[in-house]
Amino acid sequence: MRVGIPRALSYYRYFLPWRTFFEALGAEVVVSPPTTRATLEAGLGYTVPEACLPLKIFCGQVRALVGQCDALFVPSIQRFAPESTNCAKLIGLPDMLQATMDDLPPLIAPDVDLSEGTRALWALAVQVGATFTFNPLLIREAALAAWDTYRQMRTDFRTGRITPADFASSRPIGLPAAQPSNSLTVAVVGHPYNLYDPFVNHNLLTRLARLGAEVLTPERLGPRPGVDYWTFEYELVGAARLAVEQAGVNGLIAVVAFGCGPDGVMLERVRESAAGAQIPTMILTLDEHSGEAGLVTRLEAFVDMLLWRKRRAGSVSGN
Amino acid sequence: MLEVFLGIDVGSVTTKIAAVDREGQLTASLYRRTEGRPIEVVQESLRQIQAILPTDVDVAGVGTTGSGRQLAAVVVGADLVKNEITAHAVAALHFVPDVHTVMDIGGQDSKLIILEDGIVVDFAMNSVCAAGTGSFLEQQAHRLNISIEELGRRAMRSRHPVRIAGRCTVFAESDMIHKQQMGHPVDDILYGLCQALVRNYLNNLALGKMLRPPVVFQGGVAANAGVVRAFAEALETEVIVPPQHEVMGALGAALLVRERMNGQPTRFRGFGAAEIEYRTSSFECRACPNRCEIAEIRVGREVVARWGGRCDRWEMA
Repeated sequence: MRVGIPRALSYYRYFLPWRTFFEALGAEVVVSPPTTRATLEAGLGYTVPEACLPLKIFCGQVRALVGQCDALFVPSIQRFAPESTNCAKLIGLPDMLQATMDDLPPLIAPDVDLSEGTRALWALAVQVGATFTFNPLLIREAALAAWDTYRQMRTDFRTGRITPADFASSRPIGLPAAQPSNSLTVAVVGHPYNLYDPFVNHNLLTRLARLGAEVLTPERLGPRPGVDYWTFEYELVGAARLAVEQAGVNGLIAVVAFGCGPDGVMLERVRESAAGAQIPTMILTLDEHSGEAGLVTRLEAFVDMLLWRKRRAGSVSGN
Repeated sequence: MLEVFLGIDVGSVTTKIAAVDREGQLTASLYRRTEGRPIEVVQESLRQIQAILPTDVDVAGVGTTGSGRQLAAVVVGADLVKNEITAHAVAALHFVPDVHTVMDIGGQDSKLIILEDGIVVDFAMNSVCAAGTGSFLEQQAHRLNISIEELGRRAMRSRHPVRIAGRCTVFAESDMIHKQQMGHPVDDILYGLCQALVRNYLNNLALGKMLRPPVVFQGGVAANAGVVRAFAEALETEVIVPPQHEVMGALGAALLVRERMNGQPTRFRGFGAAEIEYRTSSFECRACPNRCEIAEIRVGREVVARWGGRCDRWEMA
């Protein structure tokens, strides 16, 4: 059985453990190709204009898998911790697909609610595994293997050896290295589907590296404190807090998709943390027609500003 | 022999050139429309500035800035390509060394730069919405059959400005028509328009930022006395408009390249660059579904620059 996983949204968080799980159960995993303009155009036909860019990309990625797989894996991620909730668009993904596309393969669309901890995780494994086998021991083994993959993935994130952009690649390249380095470190925070899809962010991470900055992302920074009501907002708020507390971070860039409600609310917290630590912050809003020229100008000016500050700080402490 | 550094600012609507001497003094400047053909206009501007400068002038360095900075750099042979934020900040500091706030409003975009002790600490840029820019004012002036210069003068005469919605050009326009049909004097509508632009600028760019004096206002729109007055009223402080406010980006680029060159030879192609025939063409790359539009610039048969791709396959500059 071929299980299709669209290269969008939660792919950038959990693809590796899910792949281990499905393959351990004897399935073949099919990933849609990297996002291009054609992906976006395919997605536009299935979304309302007001939907956020990541959702449009998601629909386009699903279109690339129609006819290429026997089942489509689209989890509905509800929450990870008590008292938190996920964005309604992300919770409703399977329903949205079924309401808009009539040529879909069968969906594997479990509700993922991890607020009850490990027990819920086992229940999830059994529920999804039942599509492939009735042997509970096999499911248990697959789940344990997936858990190992998940832990290894987190370790590799921390060392910078891989990023979610490498998930489907046999030769991981990790975070781009500053070339040549101007000894600046810029933390870039945001959801992984915004940070690791170079189509969506116009090669943001590589551009920063070419401007000489070392890039830190939430995955590299490690586990974030706090859940802050929105399940995934720790990628913004938690990572920003962690980044500004870390010595040697010269600037912070928050990347958000235009029209993202949770990000819009939480940006204020990001600004607060950065302002408290007196670290310059820039907010980059991504949209389907965001011009590249504007983005490049902003990045260059931001890096100039950080260098300027750094030189000034150096000369003051030198006196 | 006079040694100068040239700064060229190719904006979406206008092109500016500034020449500074070794001491950083502005010796000549030029301001003209880009007319949608940046290469020819840069070349013509080069000829014009050459005519203004002394004949024995020696160009020791060239810096470019503005949205057409890459293109201009190829055409003239530049030593430095700099973003507009840095260029504008450097120019403002040159005139007002203790400046805290730099506002720049050009034809298609607007910027806000916050400085602290002579360095940029924060900035914001608006390049998507044109409601707060010069093009908007120009369109509305045109609709009322008033020249852009006259708009500023007449707005200054207003005593009871009417409130115009400034969030979007479309709303502003229908609001203006409504006020005009209600019989409000044109002067009051015009000043209301200036206030709408200022409100839009402050709402879009100044969110959460402290705009402390000294405030410097530059860019083409700073020529409009009505907008200057509206800013001064909204910020409750004096708004300084530098004498060469419209060429500040070019001046910044010139000052930056002056700092950069330490006697190294310049890459400037010479004023003869105005006579080189640049040919441009474009094609759609079919290597992947992105179908990027690649622009190519040639001199004779030689490709001198190519860009526009999402990947590096074709890029060269």
